[in-house]
Amino acid sequence: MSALAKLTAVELKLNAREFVGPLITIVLPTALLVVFGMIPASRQPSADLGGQRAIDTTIPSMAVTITLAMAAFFMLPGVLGTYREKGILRRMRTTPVSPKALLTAQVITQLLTALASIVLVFLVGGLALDMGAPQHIAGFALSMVLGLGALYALGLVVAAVASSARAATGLSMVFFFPSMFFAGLYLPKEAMPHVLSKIGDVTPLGAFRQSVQDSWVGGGPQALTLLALAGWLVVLAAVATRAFRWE
Amino acid sequence: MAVIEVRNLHKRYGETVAVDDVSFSVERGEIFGILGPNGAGKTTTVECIEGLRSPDGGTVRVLGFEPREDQLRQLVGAQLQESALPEKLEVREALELYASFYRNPADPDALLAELGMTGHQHKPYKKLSGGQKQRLSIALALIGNPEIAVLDELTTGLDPQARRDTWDLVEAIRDRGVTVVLVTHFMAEAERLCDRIAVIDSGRVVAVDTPGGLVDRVSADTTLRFRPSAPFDDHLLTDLPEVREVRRHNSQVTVTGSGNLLHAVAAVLARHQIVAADLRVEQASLDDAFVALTGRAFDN
Repeated sequence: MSALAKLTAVELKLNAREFVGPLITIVLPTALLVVFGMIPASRQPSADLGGQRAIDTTIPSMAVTITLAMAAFFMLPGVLGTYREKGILRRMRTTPVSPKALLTAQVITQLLTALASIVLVFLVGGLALDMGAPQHIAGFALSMVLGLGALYALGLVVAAVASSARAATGLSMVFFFPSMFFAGLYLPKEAMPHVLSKIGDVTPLGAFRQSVQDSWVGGGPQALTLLALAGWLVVLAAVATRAFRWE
Repeated sequence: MAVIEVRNLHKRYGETVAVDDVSFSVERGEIFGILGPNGAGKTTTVECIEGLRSPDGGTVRVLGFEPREDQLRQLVGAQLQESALPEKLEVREALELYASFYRNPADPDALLAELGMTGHQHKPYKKLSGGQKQRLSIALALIGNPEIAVLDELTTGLDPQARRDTWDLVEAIRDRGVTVVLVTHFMAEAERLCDRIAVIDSGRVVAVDTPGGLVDRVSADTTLRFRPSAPFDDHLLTDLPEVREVRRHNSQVTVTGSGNLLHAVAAVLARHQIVAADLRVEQASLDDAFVALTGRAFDN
C-alpha cells in the first residue's frame, strides 16, 4: 500500500477511536435539521423567504455549513497542533515521506467525515422531513468544493499561526463567532441591516452558507459568493503554505 | 571508510551559538558516541546530520550525500529526543505505517520479536511504559533497514534496568551491521557502548578517541588499596619499577603506579606470604578524563 493510502487508513482509524468529535461532526447537522424541521412552520412557505420553505433553504444550509465550519475551525487545527507539539510531524521529516502526506491524509479523513454527515442530512431530510433535494447539483457541488476549501484553508492558517493546540482553539473562537454572526446564524440575514448582510455574503462561512442555500432552490449560487469563496481559498491557502511550521 | 564526515560545523540560533566548530568522522560499523553536558550542542549537531537543520557554516556529508537529499531518508534511521506518536496508535500499526514509507522495509514481526515487543503489539502508544516507548522508537528507527541509525538521548528518563536492557539492544543493532551514532550525556553509557567518542563542550569538540584512549590521556595511573595481613616495609613495593608512591592510612595501604601494577604488587606480596584483604583497583574514569579535557566537572 502506498504511504498516503496507509496514512489515510491510519488517520481514519485514529479518528474513529476518538469517537466523540467525529460522531458530533456526522450527527450534529442531522440533529439540527430534525430539531428545526420538526417545527410545522418550517415546512410552510414563508413570505420572508420569498415563498420558499425553511426546510428547503435556511435549515439545511445552516445545518451543513455550521458543522463543517466547526470541523474546519476546531478539529483540523487541534489535531495538527497536537501532532506538531508532540514532534510527530518532526519525526516524519526524517523519513522518506514528507509530513505533507500526513497533512493530506488528515484533510482526506476530515472530508470523508464531512461527506458522511451530508449524506445523513439528505437521507433523514429527504425521507423524514419532506426536504427537497438541491435543484442545482453542479452549483451545490461547486459551493461545497470551494466552501470546504476556504474553511479548511482558514483552519490551516490557524494551525500554522497558533503555537499550540490550546492556542489554536482560542484563535479559532475569534474567527468562529463573528463567522457565525455574519453567516446569519444568530440573526437571520433577512433581518440584518443591508450593509452587514452584504458583508456576510463575502465572509468565508457567510458566502458558503448563502451559496449552499441558493443551490437548494432559486437561481443557483451567485457569482459574488462563489468568487468570494474562491478568493478566500487562494489567499488563505497561500498564507497557510507560507506560515506553516513543522515544529 | 567514513560514512559521516562533519567538518567545521557551525550553527547559531539568533545570537546564541549552539555549535561553534565541530569536526569528526564516523566509520562504517562502529558505535560512535557524541558525549557532552546538556546544552553542549550535541542534538544540534545530529540534527544537522539528519537534515532537520541547515548548518550556518562547515560541511556535513552522510554516505556521500548532502544531509537534505531525499535519497538519504531511505538510508538513515532516526530516533529523536522528545518525539511521540499519536496516543491511540497501536505498536504494530505504527511499525506497519512507518514500513510503508520505505522501499525496502524490515519485517515488522521479526523486529517486534527482536525488541521483545511481540506481546505489546496491540497496545496503544499512550499505554506503553517509558522503556517500551524507547523500544518502539528504536524499532521505528530500524524499520527502513537503514545503514546508519542516529539515537538521541535514548535512555534519558529510563530506570536503571530498562537502561541496561536498552544498551543490549544498541549492541544488537551494531551487530546487524548498522553504524550507530549515539548522543548521550551519560558517562557510563558512552563508556560501555561506544567504540569511539567525540567529547563536545560549549559547541566544540575537545577530543575524539576510544573510551580507553580518553582515559589514558588523563593519566595511565592505577591505584590499589588493600589491608595487608602482616606488616611489611614500604621498600618491598617502592623498589618495583611499576610503583610510584606508597601511602599508609591507619591499616590501609594505597599504592599508585602504572603499567601492570596489580600483577607486580600481588606477586611481591605473595612471595612474602602477605594477603591483601579488601583489595580495590581504581583507574581514572571517563569523568576524570572530562574534567581534565574541559577544565571543569561534568555536570548534568
